[in-house]
Amino acid sequence: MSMITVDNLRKHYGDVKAVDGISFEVQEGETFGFLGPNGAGKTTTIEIIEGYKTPDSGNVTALGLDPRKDGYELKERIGIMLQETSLYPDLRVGELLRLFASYYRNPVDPGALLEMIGLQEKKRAFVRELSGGQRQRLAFILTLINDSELLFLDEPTAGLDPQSRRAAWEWISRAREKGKTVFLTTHYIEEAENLCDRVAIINHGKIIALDTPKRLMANLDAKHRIEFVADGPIDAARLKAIPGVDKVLEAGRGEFVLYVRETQPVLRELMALAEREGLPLRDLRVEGATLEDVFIKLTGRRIRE
Amino acid sequence: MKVLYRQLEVELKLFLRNKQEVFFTALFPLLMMSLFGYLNKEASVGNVSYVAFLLPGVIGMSVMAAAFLNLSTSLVRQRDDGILKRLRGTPLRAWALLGAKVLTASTVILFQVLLLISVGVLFFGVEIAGSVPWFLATLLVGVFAFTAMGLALASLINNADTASAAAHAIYLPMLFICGAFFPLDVMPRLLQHVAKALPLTYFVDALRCAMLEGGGLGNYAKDLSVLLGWLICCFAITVKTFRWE
Repeated sequence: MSMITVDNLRKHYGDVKAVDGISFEVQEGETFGFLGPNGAGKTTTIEIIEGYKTPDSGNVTALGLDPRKDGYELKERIGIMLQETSLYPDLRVGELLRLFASYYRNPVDPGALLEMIGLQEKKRAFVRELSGGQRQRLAFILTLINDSELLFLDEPTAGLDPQSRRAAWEWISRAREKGKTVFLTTHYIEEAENLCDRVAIINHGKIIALDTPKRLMANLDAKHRIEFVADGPIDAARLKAIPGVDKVLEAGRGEFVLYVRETQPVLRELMALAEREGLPLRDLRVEGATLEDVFIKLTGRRIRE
Repeated sequence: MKVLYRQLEVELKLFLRNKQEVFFTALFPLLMMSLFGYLNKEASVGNVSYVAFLLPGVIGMSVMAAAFLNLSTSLVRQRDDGILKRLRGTPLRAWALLGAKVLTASTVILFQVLLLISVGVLFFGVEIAGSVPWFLATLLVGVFAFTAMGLALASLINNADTASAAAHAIYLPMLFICGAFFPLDVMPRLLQHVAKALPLTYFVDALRCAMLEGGGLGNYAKDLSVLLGWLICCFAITVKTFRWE
Protein backbone atom coordinates (compact mmCIF):
# COMPACT_ATOMS: atom_id res chain seq x y z
CA MET A 1 0.00 0.00 0.00
CA SER A 2 1.21 3.50 -0.82
CA MET A 3 1.70 5.62 2.28
CA ILE A 4 2.70 8.71 0.30
CA THR A 5 2.00 9.54 -3.31
CA VAL A 6 3.41 12.64 -4.95
CA ASP A 7 2.56 13.36 -8.54
CA ASN A 8 4.21 16.08 -10.62
CA LEU A 9 4.60 18.42 -7.68
CA ARG A 10 5.65 22.02 -8.29
CA LYS A 11 6.35 24.95 -6.00
CA HIS A 12 8.01 28.15 -7.16
CA TYR A 13 9.18 31.13 -5.16
CA GLY A 14 9.42 33.92 -7.70
CA ASP A 15 11.95 32.68 -10.24
CA VAL A 16 13.26 29.95 -7.97
CA LYS A 17 11.84 26.54 -8.78
CA ALA A 18 12.09 25.03 -5.30
CA VAL A 19 10.20 21.92 -6.38
CA ASP A 20 10.17 21.35 -10.10
CA GLY A 21 7.93 18.46 -11.13
CA ILE A 22 8.64 15.78 -8.53
CA SER A 23 6.84 12.40 -8.52
CA PHE A 24 7.37 9.39 -6.25
CA GLU A 25 5.60 6.93 -3.98
CA VAL A 26 6.52 5.64 -0.54
CA GLN A 27 5.40 2.11 0.33
CA GLU A 28 4.18 0.86 3.70
CA GLY A 29 7.00 -0.09 6.05
CA GLU A 30 9.84 1.34 4.04
CA THR A 31 12.31 4.03 4.99
CA PHE A 32 12.48 6.45 2.13
CA GLY A 33 15.11 9.16 1.92
CA PHE A 34 15.57 12.42 0.08
CA LEU A 35 19.29 12.98 -0.35
CA GLY A 36 20.59 16.25 -1.72
CA PRO A 37 22.44 19.46 -0.98
CA ASN A 38 20.94 22.32 1.02
CA GLY A 39 18.46 24.26 -1.08
CA ALA A 40 17.66 21.30 -3.34
CA GLY A 41 13.95 21.37 -2.41
CA LYS A 42 13.90 18.69 0.29
CA THR A 43 12.25 20.72 3.04
CA THR A 44 9.75 22.34 0.67
CA THR A 45 8.62 18.90 -0.50
CA ILE A 46 8.33 17.39 2.97
CA GLU A 47 6.44 20.45 4.26
CA ILE A 48 3.97 20.24 1.38
CA ILE A 49 3.24 16.61 2.26
CA GLU A 50 2.89 17.50 5.95
CA GLY A 51 0.38 20.19 5.01
CA TYR A 52 2.45 23.24 5.98
CA LYS A 53 2.75 24.53 2.44
CA THR A 54 0.42 24.65 -0.55
CA PRO A 55 1.87 23.44 -3.84
CA ASP A 56 1.52 25.49 -7.03
CA SER A 57 0.43 22.34 -8.85
CA GLY A 58 0.53 18.58 -8.60
CA ASN A 59 -1.15 16.02 -6.37
CA VAL A 60 -0.14 14.82 -2.94
CA THR A 61 -1.64 12.22 -0.64
CA ALA A 62 -0.38 10.86 2.64
CA LEU A 63 -2.12 7.84 4.21
CA GLY A 64 -4.62 8.30 1.40
CA LEU A 65 -5.54 11.75 2.72
CA ASP A 66 -5.22 15.17 1.14
CA PRO A 67 -2.96 17.19 3.48
CA ARG A 68 -4.84 20.41 2.71
CA LYS A 69 -8.37 19.08 3.12
CA ASP A 70 -7.94 16.42 5.79
CA GLY A 71 -5.10 18.07 7.67
CA TYR A 72 -6.32 17.31 11.20
CA GLU A 73 -7.02 13.65 10.50
CA LEU A 74 -3.60 13.35 8.86
CA LYS A 75 -1.82 15.04 11.79
CA GLU A 76 -3.57 12.66 14.16
CA ARG A 77 -1.77 9.78 12.46
CA ILE A 78 1.67 11.12 11.50
CA GLY A 79 4.73 12.19 13.48
CA ILE A 80 6.65 15.29 12.46
CA MET A 81 10.22 16.27 13.26
CA LEU A 82 11.03 19.69 11.86
CA GLN A 83 14.45 20.73 10.71
CA GLU A 84 14.80 22.97 13.74
CA THR A 85 13.82 21.43 17.05
CA SER A 86 11.73 24.08 18.71
CA LEU A 87 10.03 23.07 21.92
CA TYR A 88 8.86 25.11 24.91
CA PRO A 89 12.20 25.85 26.65
CA ASP A 90 10.55 26.58 30.02
CA LEU A 91 8.64 23.31 30.31
CA ARG A 92 10.02 20.22 31.98
CA VAL A 93 10.59 17.20 29.75
CA GLY A 94 7.76 15.27 31.44
CA GLU A 95 5.37 18.20 31.14
CA LEU A 96 6.14 18.60 27.46
CA LEU A 97 5.46 14.93 26.77
CA ARG A 98 2.18 15.01 28.70
CA LEU A 99 1.14 18.12 26.77
CA PHE A 100 1.84 16.55 23.40
CA ALA A 101 0.14 13.32 24.51
CA SER A 102 -3.00 15.35 25.23
CA TYR A 103 -3.21 16.44 21.58
CA TYR A 104 -3.91 12.92 20.31
CA ARG A 105 -6.74 10.39 20.52
CA ASN A 106 -4.54 7.39 21.39
CA PRO A 107 -1.31 8.53 22.98
CA VAL A 108 1.34 6.03 24.08
CA ASP A 109 2.94 6.07 27.54
CA PRO A 110 5.48 8.95 27.60
CA GLY A 111 7.56 7.13 30.24
CA ALA A 112 8.25 4.20 27.91
CA LEU A 113 9.36 6.60 25.17
CA LEU A 114 11.75 8.40 27.54
CA GLU A 115 13.20 5.06 28.55
CA MET A 116 13.66 4.05 24.95
CA ILE A 117 15.99 6.99 24.28
CA GLY A 118 17.66 6.87 27.70
CA LEU A 119 16.30 10.17 28.98
CA GLN A 120 14.20 8.84 31.89
CA GLU A 121 16.37 10.62 34.48
CA LYS A 122 15.80 13.92 32.63
CA LYS A 123 12.06 13.82 33.17
CA ARG A 124 12.17 16.76 35.59
CA ALA A 125 14.80 18.75 33.68
CA PHE A 126 13.76 21.87 31.78
CA VAL A 127 13.91 21.55 28.02
CA ARG A 128 16.34 24.48 27.89
CA GLU A 129 18.79 22.56 30.10
CA LEU A 130 19.13 19.68 27.62
CA SER A 131 22.08 19.34 25.27
CA GLY A 132 21.55 19.59 21.53
CA GLY A 133 21.62 15.83 21.18
CA GLN A 134 19.14 15.30 24.01
CA ARG A 135 16.79 17.88 22.54
CA GLN A 136 16.94 16.10 19.20
CA ARG A 137 16.09 12.82 20.92
CA LEU A 138 13.14 14.48 22.62
CA ALA A 139 11.94 15.88 19.30
CA PHE A 140 12.23 12.37 17.88
CA ILE A 141 10.11 10.65 20.52
CA LEU A 142 7.44 13.34 20.10
CA THR A 143 6.93 11.89 16.62
CA LEU A 144 6.05 8.55 18.23
CA ILE A 145 3.74 9.81 20.98
CA ASN A 146 0.59 9.23 18.92
CA ASP A 147 1.75 5.76 17.84
CA SER A 148 2.02 7.26 14.38
CA GLU A 149 2.05 5.12 11.26
CA LEU A 150 4.15 7.51 9.21
CA LEU A 151 7.13 9.57 10.38
CA PHE A 152 8.46 12.69 8.68
CA LEU A 153 12.02 13.45 9.73
CA ASP A 154 13.52 16.58 8.19
CA GLU A 155 17.31 16.43 8.60
CA PRO A 156 16.93 14.41 11.82
CA THR A 157 20.65 14.39 12.69
CA ALA A 158 21.77 17.78 11.38
CA GLY A 159 24.32 19.36 13.69
CA LEU A 160 24.80 16.27 15.87
CA ASP A 161 28.21 14.84 16.78
CA PRO A 162 29.04 11.48 15.15
CA GLN A 163 28.22 9.50 18.29
CA SER A 164 24.77 11.05 18.74
CA ARG A 165 24.16 10.60 15.04
CA ARG A 166 24.83 6.86 15.25
CA ALA A 167 22.50 6.64 18.24
CA ALA A 168 19.79 8.47 16.28
CA TRP A 169 20.17 6.00 13.40
CA GLU A 170 19.64 3.22 15.91
CA TRP A 171 16.26 4.62 17.03
CA ILE A 172 15.14 5.37 13.51
CA SER A 173 15.97 1.78 12.52
CA ARG A 174 14.06 0.52 15.52
CA ALA A 175 11.00 2.54 14.49
CA ARG A 176 11.28 0.93 11.08
CA GLU A 177 11.46 -2.54 12.66
CA LYS A 178 8.23 -1.79 14.47
CA GLY A 179 6.61 -1.31 11.09
CA LYS A 180 6.62 2.47 10.87
CA THR A 181 7.00 4.05 7.48
CA VAL A 182 9.68 6.74 7.52
CA PHE A 183 10.23 9.60 5.11
CA LEU A 184 13.44 11.46 5.86
CA THR A 185 15.56 14.12 4.25
CA THR A 186 19.29 14.34 4.70
CA HIS A 187 22.46 15.67 3.20
CA TYR A 188 24.56 13.02 4.93
CA ILE A 189 25.59 10.26 2.56
CA GLU A 190 26.09 7.68 5.30
CA GLU A 191 22.69 8.40 6.77
CA ALA A 192 20.95 7.67 3.48
CA GLU A 193 23.06 4.54 2.91
CA ASN A 194 22.57 3.20 6.42
CA LEU A 195 18.90 3.91 6.96
CA CYS A 196 17.07 4.03 3.68
CA ASP A 197 15.48 1.22 1.74
CA ARG A 198 15.21 3.57 -1.19
CA VAL A 199 16.83 6.91 -1.85
CA ALA A 200 15.76 9.72 -4.14
CA ILE A 201 18.69 11.94 -5.07
CA ILE A 202 17.40 15.45 -5.44
CA ASN A 203 19.04 18.49 -6.97
CA HIS A 204 17.57 21.86 -8.04
CA GLY A 205 14.03 20.73 -7.26
CA LYS A 206 14.20 17.57 -9.38
CA ILE A 207 14.68 13.90 -8.59
CA ILE A 208 17.73 12.89 -10.61
CA ALA A 209 17.90 9.26 -9.43
CA LEU A 210 15.67 6.98 -7.35
CA ASP A 211 16.49 3.43 -6.30
CA THR A 212 17.91 1.31 -3.48
CA PRO A 213 21.35 2.56 -2.39
CA LYS A 214 22.88 -0.71 -3.66
CA ARG A 215 21.45 -0.41 -7.12
CA LEU A 216 22.27 3.28 -7.37
CA MET A 217 25.88 2.44 -6.66
CA ALA A 218 25.86 -0.60 -8.95
CA ASN A 219 25.21 1.75 -11.84
CA LEU A 220 28.54 3.45 -11.32
CA ASP A 221 31.32 2.47 -13.73
CA ALA A 222 34.01 3.19 -11.17
CA LYS A 223 33.28 1.06 -8.11
CA HIS A 224 36.12 2.24 -5.91
CA ARG A 225 37.88 5.35 -4.79
CA ILE A 226 41.57 5.82 -4.03
CA GLU A 227 42.26 8.92 -1.98
CA PHE A 228 45.66 10.34 -1.02
CA VAL A 229 47.59 13.53 -0.36
CA ALA A 230 50.70 14.10 -2.48
CA ASP A 231 53.53 15.93 -0.70
CA GLY A 232 54.81 17.57 -3.85
CA PRO A 233 53.71 18.62 -7.31
CA ILE A 234 52.11 16.06 -9.57
CA ASP A 235 50.23 16.48 -12.82
CA ALA A 236 46.63 15.21 -12.68
CA ALA A 237 46.93 14.14 -16.32
CA ARG A 238 49.59 11.58 -15.37
CA LEU A 239 47.28 10.10 -12.78
CA LYS A 240 44.45 9.98 -15.30
CA ALA A 241 46.79 8.12 -17.67
CA ILE A 242 47.11 5.17 -15.26
CA PRO A 243 45.14 2.28 -16.81
CA GLY A 244 41.90 1.64 -14.88
CA VAL A 245 41.47 5.22 -13.65
CA ASP A 246 38.12 6.61 -14.75
CA LYS A 247 38.27 10.05 -13.28
CA VAL A 248 40.59 12.22 -11.21
CA LEU A 249 39.25 14.79 -8.75
CA GLU A 250 41.66 17.39 -7.36
CA ALA A 251 40.36 18.37 -3.95
CA GLY A 252 43.07 20.99 -3.28
CA ARG A 253 46.16 21.08 -1.04
CA GLY A 254 47.63 18.11 -2.83
CA GLU A 255 44.58 15.93 -2.15
CA PHE A 256 43.51 13.66 -4.99
CA VAL A 257 40.61 11.27 -5.49
CA LEU A 258 40.91 8.61 -8.18
CA TYR A 259 37.79 6.78 -9.36
CA VAL A 260 38.80 3.31 -10.44
CA ARG A 261 37.30 0.04 -11.67
CA GLU A 262 39.94 -2.23 -10.14
CA THR A 263 42.01 -1.22 -7.14
CA GLN A 264 45.02 -3.52 -7.27
CA PRO A 265 46.54 -2.72 -10.70
CA VAL A 266 45.96 1.02 -10.15
CA LEU A 267 47.57 0.93 -6.72
CA ARG A 268 50.59 -0.89 -8.16
CA GLU A 269 50.98 1.74 -10.90
CA LEU A 270 50.42 4.59 -8.46
CA MET A 271 53.11 3.28 -6.13
CA ALA A 272 55.55 2.87 -9.01
CA LEU A 273 54.83 6.41 -10.16
CA ALA A 274 55.37 7.84 -6.69
CA GLU A 275 58.61 5.83 -6.37
CA ARG A 276 59.99 7.13 -9.66
CA GLU A 277 59.15 10.76 -8.84
CA GLY A 278 60.34 10.49 -5.25
CA LEU A 279 56.89 11.67 -4.22
CA PRO A 280 55.68 10.77 -0.71
CA LEU A 281 51.97 9.89 -0.54
CA ARG A 282 50.17 10.53 2.72
CA ASP A 283 46.78 9.33 4.02
CA LEU A 284 46.37 6.74 1.31
CA ARG A 285 42.91 5.20 1.47
CA VAL A 286 40.92 2.82 -0.65
CA GLU A 287 37.16 2.97 -0.33
CA GLY A 288 34.12 1.56 -2.00
CA ALA A 289 31.97 4.01 -3.91
CA THR A 290 29.26 5.84 -1.96
CA LEU A 291 26.08 7.66 -2.85
CA GLU A 292 28.20 10.80 -2.95
CA ASP A 293 29.91 9.34 -6.02
CA VAL A 294 26.51 8.77 -7.58
CA PHE A 295 25.73 12.42 -6.93
CA ILE A 296 29.07 13.54 -8.36
CA LYS A 297 28.55 11.41 -11.43
CA LEU A 298 25.10 12.91 -12.02
CA THR A 299 25.81 16.55 -11.21
CA GLY A 300 29.57 16.99 -11.37
CA ARG A 301 29.72 18.38 -7.84
CA ARG A 302 29.79 17.24 -4.25
CA ILE A 303 26.68 17.23 -2.04
CA ARG A 304 28.37 19.35 0.61
CA GLU A 305 30.61 22.02 -0.83
CA MET B 1 -12.03 20.17 26.57
CA LYS B 2 -9.16 18.13 28.00
CA VAL B 3 -6.89 19.70 25.39
CA LEU B 4 -7.94 23.19 26.44
CA TYR B 5 -7.36 22.35 30.09
CA ARG B 6 -3.85 20.93 29.49
CA GLN B 7 -2.91 23.88 27.31
CA LEU B 8 -4.20 26.31 29.95
CA GLU B 9 -2.22 24.50 32.65
CA VAL B 10 0.93 24.78 30.55
CA GLU B 11 0.39 28.43 29.67
CA LEU B 12 -0.15 29.31 33.33
CA LYS B 13 3.05 27.50 34.28
CA LEU B 14 4.96 29.31 31.58
CA PHE B 15 3.56 32.61 32.85
CA LEU B 16 4.56 31.90 36.45
CA ARG B 17 8.04 30.81 35.36
CA ASN B 18 8.64 34.09 33.56
CA LYS B 19 9.74 36.40 36.36
CA GLN B 20 9.64 39.52 34.22
CA GLU B 21 6.06 38.89 33.13
CA VAL B 22 4.97 38.11 36.66
CA PHE B 23 6.52 41.33 37.93
CA PHE B 24 5.07 43.62 35.28
CA THR B 25 1.64 41.99 35.19
CA ALA B 26 0.99 40.88 38.72
CA LEU B 27 3.07 43.11 40.96
CA PHE B 28 3.56 46.36 39.10
CA PRO B 29 -0.14 47.43 39.15
CA LEU B 30 -0.30 46.73 42.88
CA LEU B 31 2.86 48.77 43.45
CA MET B 32 1.51 51.63 41.37
CA MET B 33 -1.74 51.69 43.30
CA SER B 34 -0.03 51.52 46.68
CA LEU B 35 2.48 54.22 45.81
CA PHE B 36 0.12 56.68 44.11
CA GLY B 37 -2.58 55.89 46.62
CA TYR B 38 -0.29 56.51 49.58
CA LEU B 39 1.16 59.74 48.17
CA ASN B 40 -2.31 61.15 47.43
CA LYS B 41 -4.17 59.77 50.41
CA GLU B 42 -6.05 62.97 51.12
CA ALA B 43 -6.69 64.04 47.54
CA SER B 44 -10.00 63.67 45.77
CA VAL B 45 -11.29 63.71 42.21
CA GLY B 46 -14.77 65.12 41.81
CA ASN B 47 -16.78 63.69 44.67
CA VAL B 48 -14.70 60.55 45.25
CA SER B 49 -11.32 60.03 46.91
CA TYR B 50 -8.26 59.80 44.65
CA VAL B 51 -7.71 56.14 45.56
CA ALA B 52 -11.27 55.29 44.59
CA PHE B 53 -10.63 57.05 41.28
CA LEU B 54 -7.31 55.23 40.88
CA LEU B 55 -8.52 51.68 41.60
CA PRO B 56 -10.48 51.18 38.33
CA GLY B 57 -7.54 52.70 36.44
CA VAL B 58 -5.12 50.20 37.94
CA ILE B 59 -7.53 47.38 37.12
CA GLY B 60 -7.56 48.66 33.53
CA MET B 61 -3.77 48.61 33.61
CA SER B 62 -3.75 44.98 34.80
CA VAL B 63 -6.14 43.91 32.10
CA MET B 64 -4.06 45.56 29.43
CA ALA B 65 -0.83 44.09 30.79
CA ALA B 66 -2.18 40.53 30.84
CA ALA B 67 -4.38 40.54 27.77
CA PHE B 68 -2.39 42.80 25.47
CA LEU B 69 1.22 42.97 26.60
CA ASN B 70 1.83 39.38 27.73
CA LEU B 71 -0.29 37.77 25.10
CA SER B 72 1.34 39.56 22.18
CA THR B 73 4.92 39.19 23.39
CA SER B 74 4.59 35.52 24.35
CA LEU B 75 2.81 34.67 21.11
CA VAL B 76 5.45 36.33 18.95
CA ARG B 77 8.26 34.77 20.97
CA GLN B 78 6.73 31.32 20.56
CA ARG B 79 6.33 31.90 16.85
CA ASP B 80 9.88 33.23 16.56
CA ASP B 81 11.15 30.13 18.39
CA GLY B 82 9.27 27.89 15.95
CA ILE B 83 7.02 26.48 18.67
CA LEU B 84 3.81 27.50 16.91
CA LYS B 85 5.01 25.79 13.76
CA ARG B 86 5.65 22.59 15.69
CA LEU B 87 2.20 22.77 17.31
CA ARG B 88 0.64 23.17 13.89
CA GLY B 89 2.08 19.75 13.08
CA THR B 90 -0.26 18.24 15.70
CA PRO B 91 -4.06 17.99 15.69
CA LEU B 92 -4.24 20.89 18.19
CA ARG B 93 -6.83 23.34 16.87
CA ALA B 94 -5.98 27.02 16.57
CA TRP B 95 -9.02 27.93 18.67
CA ALA B 96 -7.80 25.72 21.52
CA LEU B 97 -4.37 27.33 21.49
CA LEU B 98 -5.75 30.87 21.39
CA GLY B 99 -8.53 29.96 23.80
CA ALA B 100 -5.95 28.73 26.31
CA LYS B 101 -4.04 31.98 25.96
CA VAL B 102 -7.17 34.06 26.54
CA LEU B 103 -8.13 31.89 29.52
CA THR B 104 -4.63 32.29 30.94
CA ALA B 105 -4.89 36.05 30.69
CA SER B 106 -8.40 35.91 32.20
CA THR B 107 -7.23 33.80 35.14
CA VAL B 108 -4.41 36.22 35.88
CA ILE B 109 -6.82 39.15 35.56
CA LEU B 110 -9.34 37.55 37.91
CA PHE B 111 -6.72 37.17 40.63
CA GLN B 112 -5.50 40.70 40.00
CA VAL B 113 -8.98 42.20 40.24
CA LEU B 114 -9.70 40.42 43.52
CA LEU B 115 -6.31 41.42 44.94
CA LEU B 116 -6.55 45.06 43.87
CA ILE B 117 -10.11 45.49 45.11
CA SER B 118 -9.24 43.83 48.45
CA VAL B 119 -6.23 46.10 48.95
CA GLY B 120 -8.23 49.15 47.86
CA VAL B 121 -11.10 48.40 50.23
CA LEU B 122 -9.10 47.10 53.21
CA PHE B 123 -6.10 49.43 53.19
CA PHE B 124 -7.37 52.55 51.47
CA GLY B 125 -10.99 52.49 52.52
CA VAL B 126 -12.37 52.65 48.99
CA GLU B 127 -16.15 52.39 48.95
CA ILE B 128 -17.48 50.26 46.13
CA ALA B 129 -20.91 51.53 45.19
CA GLY B 130 -21.52 50.30 41.70
CA SER B 131 -23.00 47.49 39.70
CA VAL B 132 -21.46 44.01 39.72
CA PRO B 133 -23.12 42.89 36.46
CA TRP B 134 -21.93 45.97 34.59
CA PHE B 135 -18.48 45.59 36.09
CA LEU B 136 -18.25 42.00 34.89
CA ALA B 137 -19.66 42.87 31.47
CA THR B 138 -17.14 45.68 31.06
CA LEU B 139 -14.32 43.44 32.21
CA LEU B 140 -15.32 40.77 29.69
CA VAL B 141 -15.52 43.18 26.78
CA GLY B 142 -12.21 44.74 27.82
CA VAL B 143 -10.41 41.41 28.05
CA PHE B 144 -11.57 40.49 24.57
CA ALA B 145 -10.77 43.90 23.07
CA PHE B 146 -7.23 43.95 24.46
CA THR B 147 -6.70 40.31 23.52
CA ALA B 148 -7.69 41.18 19.97
CA MET B 149 -5.25 44.11 20.05
CA GLY B 150 -2.51 41.76 21.24
CA LEU B 151 -3.30 39.29 18.46
CA ALA B 152 -3.32 42.06 15.86
CA LEU B 153 0.08 43.28 17.02
CA ALA B 154 1.41 39.70 16.97
CA SER B 155 0.12 39.38 13.42
CA LEU B 156 1.80 42.54 12.22
CA ILE B 157 5.24 42.11 13.81
CA ASN B 158 7.50 39.10 13.23
CA ASN B 159 10.48 39.63 15.46
CA ALA B 160 10.14 38.89 19.18
CA ASP B 161 12.27 41.80 20.37
CA THR B 162 10.55 44.28 18.07
CA ALA B 163 7.14 43.04 19.18
CA SER B 164 8.01 43.43 22.85
CA ALA B 165 9.32 46.96 22.25
CA ALA B 166 6.25 47.88 20.21
CA ALA B 167 3.86 46.45 22.79
CA HIS B 168 5.51 48.44 25.57
CA ALA B 169 5.58 51.56 23.39
CA ILE B 170 1.80 51.26 23.05
CA TYR B 171 1.06 50.17 26.60
CA LEU B 172 3.08 52.66 28.67
CA PRO B 173 1.94 55.94 27.05
CA MET B 174 -1.66 54.70 27.10
CA LEU B 175 -1.45 54.27 30.86
CA PHE B 176 -0.56 57.91 31.28
CA ILE B 177 -2.77 59.63 28.74
CA CYS B 178 -5.94 57.53 28.98
CA GLY B 179 -7.02 58.67 32.40
CA ALA B 180 -5.99 55.55 34.29
CA PHE B 181 -3.96 57.47 36.89
CA PHE B 182 -5.08 61.09 36.45
CA PRO B 183 -8.29 62.67 35.22
CA LEU B 184 -8.24 63.38 31.50
CA ASP B 185 -8.85 67.11 31.93
CA VAL B 186 -5.50 67.77 33.64
CA MET B 187 -3.83 66.73 30.36
CA PRO B 188 -2.82 69.09 27.55
CA ARG B 189 -5.63 69.54 25.02
CA LEU B 190 -3.77 67.67 22.27
CA LEU B 191 -3.26 64.58 24.43
CA GLN B 192 -6.92 64.68 25.40
CA HIS B 193 -7.81 64.38 21.72
CA VAL B 194 -5.39 61.47 21.30
CA ALA B 195 -6.85 59.79 24.37
CA LYS B 196 -10.35 59.97 22.86
CA ALA B 197 -9.22 57.60 20.12
CA LEU B 198 -7.68 55.03 22.43
CA PRO B 199 -9.52 52.02 23.91
CA LEU B 200 -8.07 52.21 27.41
CA THR B 201 -9.79 55.59 27.93
CA TYR B 202 -13.21 54.03 27.40
CA PHE B 203 -12.40 50.86 29.28
CA VAL B 204 -11.27 52.76 32.39
CA ASP B 205 -14.23 55.10 32.11
CA ALA B 206 -16.67 52.20 32.03
CA LEU B 207 -14.90 50.40 34.89
CA ARG B 208 -14.99 53.58 36.97
CA CYS B 209 -18.69 54.02 36.34
CA ALA B 210 -19.41 50.38 37.17
CA MET B 211 -17.42 50.51 40.40
CA LEU B 212 -18.39 53.91 41.71
CA GLU B 213 -21.80 54.79 40.27
CA GLY B 214 -23.52 51.82 38.69
CA GLY B 215 -26.39 53.05 36.56
CA GLY B 216 -27.90 51.58 33.41
CA LEU B 217 -27.05 50.93 29.79
CA GLY B 218 -26.93 54.66 29.00
CA ASN B 219 -23.80 55.01 31.13
CA TYR B 220 -21.97 52.28 29.22
CA ALA B 221 -23.26 52.31 25.66
CA LYS B 222 -20.60 54.62 24.26
CA ASP B 223 -17.65 53.07 26.12
CA LEU B 224 -18.59 49.52 25.26
CA SER B 225 -19.32 50.32 21.60
CA VAL B 226 -15.88 51.89 21.18
CA LEU B 227 -14.27 48.81 22.76
CA LEU B 228 -16.31 46.54 20.52
CA GLY B 229 -15.21 48.61 17.53
CA TRP B 230 -11.56 48.09 18.46
CA LEU B 231 -12.25 44.41 19.01
CA ILE B 232 -13.76 43.97 15.57
CA CYS B 233 -11.04 45.93 13.74
CA CYS B 234 -8.19 44.15 15.50
CA PHE B 235 -9.82 40.78 15.01
CA ALA B 236 -10.18 41.49 11.29
CA ILE B 237 -6.47 42.38 11.07
CA THR B 238 -5.62 39.13 12.87
CA VAL B 239 -7.76 36.97 10.62
CA LYS B 240 -6.24 38.60 7.53
CA THR B 241 -2.58 38.59 8.52
CA PHE B 242 -1.87 36.04 11.27
CA ARG B 243 1.00 33.65 10.52
CA TRP B 244 2.18 30.52 12.30
CA GLU B 245 5.79 30.73 11.19
